[in-house]
Amino acid sequence: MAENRERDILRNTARWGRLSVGLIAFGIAATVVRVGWLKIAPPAQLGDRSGAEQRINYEQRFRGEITDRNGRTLAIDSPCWRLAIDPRYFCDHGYRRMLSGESPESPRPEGSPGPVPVDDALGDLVGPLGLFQAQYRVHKLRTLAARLDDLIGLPKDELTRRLVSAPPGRRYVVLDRLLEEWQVDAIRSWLDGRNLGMLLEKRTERRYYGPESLKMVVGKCRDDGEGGSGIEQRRESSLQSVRGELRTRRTSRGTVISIPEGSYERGRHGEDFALTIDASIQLRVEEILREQVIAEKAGGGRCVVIDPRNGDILAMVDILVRRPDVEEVILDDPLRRVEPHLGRDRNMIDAFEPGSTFKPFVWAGALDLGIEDRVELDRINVEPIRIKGRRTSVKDAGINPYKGPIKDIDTILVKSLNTGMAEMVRHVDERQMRSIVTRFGFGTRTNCGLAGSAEHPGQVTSPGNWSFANTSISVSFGHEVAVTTLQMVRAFSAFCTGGLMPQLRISMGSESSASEEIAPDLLMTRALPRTLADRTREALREVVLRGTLRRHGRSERYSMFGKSGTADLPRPGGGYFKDRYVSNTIAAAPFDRPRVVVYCVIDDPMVNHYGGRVAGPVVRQVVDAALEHLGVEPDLVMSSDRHHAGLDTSRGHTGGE
Amino acid sequence: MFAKLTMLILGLGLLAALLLVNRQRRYEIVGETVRVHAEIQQLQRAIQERKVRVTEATRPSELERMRSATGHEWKSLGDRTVLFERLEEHEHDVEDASGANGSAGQDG
Repeated sequence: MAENRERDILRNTARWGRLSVGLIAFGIAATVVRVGWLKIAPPAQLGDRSGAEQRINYEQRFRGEITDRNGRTLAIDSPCWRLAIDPRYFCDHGYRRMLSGESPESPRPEGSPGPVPVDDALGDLVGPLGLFQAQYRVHKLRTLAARLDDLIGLPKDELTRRLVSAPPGRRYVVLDRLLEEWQVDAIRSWLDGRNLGMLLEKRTERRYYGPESLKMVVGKCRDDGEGGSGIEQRRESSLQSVRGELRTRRTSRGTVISIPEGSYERGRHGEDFALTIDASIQLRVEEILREQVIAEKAGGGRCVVIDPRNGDILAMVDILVRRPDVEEVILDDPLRRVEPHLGRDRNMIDAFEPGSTFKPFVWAGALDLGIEDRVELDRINVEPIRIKGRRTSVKDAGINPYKGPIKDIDTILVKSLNTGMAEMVRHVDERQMRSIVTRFGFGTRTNCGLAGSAEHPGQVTSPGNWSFANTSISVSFGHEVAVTTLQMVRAFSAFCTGGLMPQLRISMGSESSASEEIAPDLLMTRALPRTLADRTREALREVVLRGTLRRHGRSERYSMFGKSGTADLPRPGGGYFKDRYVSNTIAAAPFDRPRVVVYCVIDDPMVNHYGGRVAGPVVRQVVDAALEHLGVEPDLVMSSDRHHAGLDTSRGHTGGE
Repeated sequence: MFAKLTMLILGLGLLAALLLVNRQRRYEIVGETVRVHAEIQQLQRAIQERKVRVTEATRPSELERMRSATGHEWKSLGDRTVLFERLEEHEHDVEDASGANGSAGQDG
């Protein structure tokens, strides 16, 4: 009985023992598994409570480059360093650390303030004496400024002023925005791991290159890195970079423990952007135009060069001059004197009356209406024509207007006869006349991709106000209509491409927009039938050979066709000056396969005033320079063979413009 | 029983050691990841600095200075498509000429 009892007790004990061991083993195993689980894949909610520090490493990303059509950089982000300091931390802790790191024998930097016969303990003792503490603070900051001046050449007076004038509560004062690498190395070496409250931050500086005249096209970034004007602003969304970041968990000593899931956000560099502008052509145009503006003592000048085959704007220059001895009437642009990037590009923003340069469009449009047989050539160029309802009679302009025979209707254009244009539009009604103007794109923006809604659409009289006597007649020789230089080159391209006008563009297309880009040939608008465009081109060649451009606007190397014009300068209060002008010339070359259209406007020249004389030389030089740069072979033999090529200058007669 | 407990303790010890090794590996990997990440950032910054230097060294004014220093006259290459067409034509001409010469030689 007793044995049985004893056996039962032993059995029970063994059972409970096994159960206990099993439970303990299970507990240990569960604990190990849990520890392992926590170590290998800790839940996210524990991450912030584990005592580890979270640190963020930012990925520096760069704004997209802006380049010209050949990849030459016009705007780029340059990496640099910014040096900042926490003045309060420096005064409380950094100053003492700074001094402790310097040996007593080390020479005191030149200009460094001498020792102050007090220390921090005395400063604390006389704490209520705020004036003393303020002086002591200034002393500390002056000492720092002198050290930095000695170390990396930052001007100590400017640094002291900046540090001392900062509000006492400010914890972040920028000492220098753009440090170079050697300065960064010098500071790091000097700090040698000491925390003085100074901070070196990675930054970027936007740098601009290229011709001066291109600055208002490229624009500028603001201090916060966002585009503030020009292409920088228009293309902000694609140029902008996105900063990436990598969040890590570290021990208090900085050892990386883990990279939690989802803690990496990849950054993105901005997309590069290519302009259609050719920086070399732009620079040359700028030089030529500036020279002529100075020579003619003009108030300014504009010049646009495009490729008529696809509407690419190759150069766009705008020069504005303020003459101290002249009462200026051209709208001023004070911003460009402050900052060229912020200037108003008058090629897009300012409209003007072109004068006779407008005649080819009306001439071609009228011929397209079939009026050639109705024009009475014997009415032209005889005497001023009086028109009922019009205050002034129509007469041919120029100091020596053409008085020769009117062989055909082409002579009207070649000799730029106002009376001839009046006779032509006599057979065109008001609605048709307005349609001629609008079909060439006048009155609508070019939407070239630069100015947006700020681009001037030009001015075309509304159908309700259009009259034959005062509108049709005036428009036929380029008055009562306001155009921009971009509209003029777009319209003139129709004579180069068999009657098609291209969509102007300033953008070669970015990576993201490449797939959306529409083929340029789909963006052509027909303005004239091919035969009529070619006929007008022939007539315009005669303008260069025998008309107003033969002396000053004709290249000896490339066959050109074009037209000049001289419009009266409008008075600010209404009406026109009788002795101040807007001189302009438009031309394209080479004749058979035009590669460039060049338009130049010289505002208010004081030496000469006829368009061919003032703007013609600019157009000629630009045609030569641009075509040579583009590698187009000259299609004319030089002056010795001029006679054989039909370029004899002894023939012909310069009429009015 | 003792043997079982010993096995259990050894097993747990082994497991703990494995966990420690695993943790160390993980620390090393994330440390390496962060270091490589920082190095990539540094290299990208260096590339950008080089780009800026190239831009400054190829400014038209700088090229003009170098050109005048060499004393050579530079000309525009011009339209590359035209240039390549001409090169191809020239190559064809050379091939034709050599072919003609070769056949003439055989005939002779």
